[in-house]
Amino acid sequence: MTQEREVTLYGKLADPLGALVRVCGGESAETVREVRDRVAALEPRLSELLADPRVRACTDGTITADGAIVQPGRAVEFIPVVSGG
Amino acid sequence: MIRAIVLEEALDPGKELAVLTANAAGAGGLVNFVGLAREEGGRVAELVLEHHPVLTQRSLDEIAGAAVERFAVTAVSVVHRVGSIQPDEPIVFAGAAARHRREAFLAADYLMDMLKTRAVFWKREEGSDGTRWIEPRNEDLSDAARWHGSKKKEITR
Repeated sequence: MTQEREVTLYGKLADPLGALVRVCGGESAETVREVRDRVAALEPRLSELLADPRVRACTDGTITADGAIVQPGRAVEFIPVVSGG
Repeated sequence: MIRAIVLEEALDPGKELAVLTANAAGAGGLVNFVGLAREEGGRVAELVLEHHPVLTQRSLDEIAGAAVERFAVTAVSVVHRVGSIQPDEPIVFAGAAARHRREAFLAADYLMDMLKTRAVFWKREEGSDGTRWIEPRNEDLSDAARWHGSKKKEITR
């Protein structure tokens, strides 16, 4: 059965489609890279933004490598370059 | 004292300085920096600071904690605004108290370099030209790189 995966986008990544998007593939384990590709396929500008190697993924409050496995149903967040001060 | 606050309401630098001073017993001095929202010649009507529900607080805790580890300071305070900020309003307070002034100056400098490049915030300017996301400048990155690999004793000599 198909299940969507929830993906939260921060900063400028939220400009094209908003902060919360849903992609297919949530019913199975897949890599962060695969989730990134699914999100990128949603919109050309978002694809450009996610291609920036400085964009990091976060799962369960922890920065996660692109090769890490995301378990079924778990949400993923993508985080662009940060800047405070 | 290690104080690291993500602040959703107006930042009062005077109050923060008072808190730092009250927790600086035994220190010989303290240094503080207050960052303000720039209007950029009237181009910027509003600065918006977004944050992450978990990572932002963690990043402030780590930056403040690292300053205490690295420098001979008795107190460190980092208070950072989020939300909508008008030009000239304070964005950030960074302060350190130490027995000797050099350590306090270094710690405050370190705090700001790390906040500019490591703290988990996203900054955008809203104004007459539309929206513009702000990322660290090359100067910010090179300033932060000064601290890489340098140990406490090497810096404080």
